[in-house]
Amino acid sequence: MAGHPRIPVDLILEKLAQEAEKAQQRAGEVSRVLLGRLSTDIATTPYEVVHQVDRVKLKHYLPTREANPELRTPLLVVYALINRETMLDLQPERSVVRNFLQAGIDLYMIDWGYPSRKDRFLTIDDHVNVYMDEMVEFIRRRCRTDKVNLMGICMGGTFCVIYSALHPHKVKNLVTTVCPTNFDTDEGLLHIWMRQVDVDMMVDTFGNMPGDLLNLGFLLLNPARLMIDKYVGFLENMNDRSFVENFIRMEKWIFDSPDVPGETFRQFVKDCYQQNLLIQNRLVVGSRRVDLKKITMPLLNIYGQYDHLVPPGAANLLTKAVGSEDTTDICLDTGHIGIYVSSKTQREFTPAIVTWLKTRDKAPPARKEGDGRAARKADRPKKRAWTERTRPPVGRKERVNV
Amino acid sequence: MDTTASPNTHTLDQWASLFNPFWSLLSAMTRKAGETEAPEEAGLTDSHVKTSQEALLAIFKTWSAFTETLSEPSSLTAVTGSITAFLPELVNKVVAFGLSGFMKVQSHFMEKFSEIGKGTQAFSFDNLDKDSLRFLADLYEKEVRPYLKVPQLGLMRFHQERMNEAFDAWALFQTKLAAFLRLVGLPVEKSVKVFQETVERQIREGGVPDDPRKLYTTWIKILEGHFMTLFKSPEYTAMLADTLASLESFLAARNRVLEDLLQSLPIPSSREVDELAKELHDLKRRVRDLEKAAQGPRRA
Repeated sequence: MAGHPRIPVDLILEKLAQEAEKAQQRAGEVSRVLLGRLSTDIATTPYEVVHQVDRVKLKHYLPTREANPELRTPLLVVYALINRETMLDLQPERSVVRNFLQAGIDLYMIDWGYPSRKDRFLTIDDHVNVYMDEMVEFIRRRCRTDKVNLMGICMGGTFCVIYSALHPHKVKNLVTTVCPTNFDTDEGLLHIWMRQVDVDMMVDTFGNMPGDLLNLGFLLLNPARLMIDKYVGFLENMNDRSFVENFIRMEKWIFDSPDVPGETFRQFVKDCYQQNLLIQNRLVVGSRRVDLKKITMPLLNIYGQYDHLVPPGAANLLTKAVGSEDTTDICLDTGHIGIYVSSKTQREFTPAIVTWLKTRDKAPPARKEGDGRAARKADRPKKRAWTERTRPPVGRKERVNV
Repeated sequence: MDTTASPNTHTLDQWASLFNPFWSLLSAMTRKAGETEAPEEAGLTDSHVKTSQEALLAIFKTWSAFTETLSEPSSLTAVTGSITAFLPELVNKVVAFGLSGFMKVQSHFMEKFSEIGKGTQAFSFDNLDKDSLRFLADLYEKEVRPYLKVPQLGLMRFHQERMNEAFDAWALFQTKLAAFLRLVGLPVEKSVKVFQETVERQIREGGVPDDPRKLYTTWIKILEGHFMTLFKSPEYTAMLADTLASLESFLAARNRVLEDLLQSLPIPSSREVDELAKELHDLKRRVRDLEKAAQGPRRA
């Protein structure tokens, strides 16, 4: 019919027919890949559990080289309560953990485990002032050091910010990655949706927030890509063993979703997403107000330009809000997960952190017995020397877009 | 029309007369579609297509004839007469009530059928047909729900009320879920339309989209755009919150029924376990605080 052109189905079918032979050959390859042995283990870097409080474990990764004298302060990595820390060690070639070890960092990581029904009453206070503090105390004792370097990921970054504000004398350097601190933004769908959610009803009903329900919510953030296109991509590459292995590793990680303790979820949504108290210095954790001005240690804040969960607007106000005069923002050209797993970002992300830490970690912190105030004063950076906001030193900029 | 006909007769009459034009219309539409759609143009020359169309047409005709026959007053009287012959009056009333509800649903579906093919506005979710599934909720709320609210009596009153509450919450959740799923499905509908327009434009401009991968990529981008537009709309956010709330209401009501059941068995309920966990949690915190206070100076 004139005016109503049609899709040339015949041409498409002809093209498909031409590719039938290729498809047959490909089918053979696919069956060989899928029926053969696949290496899909994740988190294979050796570690030992050196401390445990309730279900929460402290992993210490076995060093792969002798300690770097420029990186003597142990680094404690705190992951979010959503999904698992195995994301940092998905595969040997793209492992943040391995990269840190190869740089000579003494690496510790918190494994939050799988909360059960009895954990539903755990609050942010329990996670920050009990579990995190217990782990930091253990590392301080074990390494005979006054301070640790702290690195937080996503919600774990928010916990690290709170911890650093409440216990600044125990943190030498703070690294936050894709860390939400400003929740009053419409850049991310999560921020829009969370304002409407009746979190009281939700927590009262579910107890702990089911990981699968949260995952469904994350899938709904972009169903076209996450529920259709992703699997179309898999179908197209099923004959590529390496692709299939990496894909399955990612699937293993992404659907390994522990439940989130109910009271923590309630507080996080109400105080952060709905009232945005943290960035305003009005958040109260364990009867103490979280004053970001007390974060006086050097701060490196890394976030993704295309992060749909923690958009730049949710992450980039932190450096202005803290009391530290040594702050650095790095905006990477990637998304929320890509920052840790994409090959391109791997070449930028870990080296940026290692270099930043090296610059600030050459001298080990002096151990001061008794009152920690003297140590705190001695370790305080000289304002002019470390102020990136006022005068960016060579090789470091106030805001870096990579 | 037989003036002595029972209420059932009227209902059946309405139903049959309502259905009759619908089948005729559908039959005509199918015939018309068969005539205008040149199979060769679409590249479908298989005789099976024609056979299928003919078979479908035959089914429509049969059904149309059946409804026509049924709408005859004599047929209706015969049908209802035979029903009343062996069913008590109460059952008849229930049947009449059920048919009345069914008619409303059918009438609404037919209205919606008639709207199929009307344009859908791309990348816009401003004028959503919010009431498209509202009639289901209305039907439930007006015709079924009052029965669940009837005061219960006797020894089992409490349990019966809880069961009714759970059923009520489940039914409401189903209606909300249906509306939510319909909303989430809208971007697919809209993206297909935009995709069709895009391909038509490409053809007009001389490009021949013969690569399925390119076509797919075009569609998925359009779909993603529509989803993003929908997800940012206040209507979606409100409906998401509403659906979640109805799910939670249902789960809470269901849990109350289960807890009642568990009370009769030697199994602790989740509420009891939660109370115990809360006490343990508070105790642990107190012990830790006391420990810290005792070690205070050393841990500073």
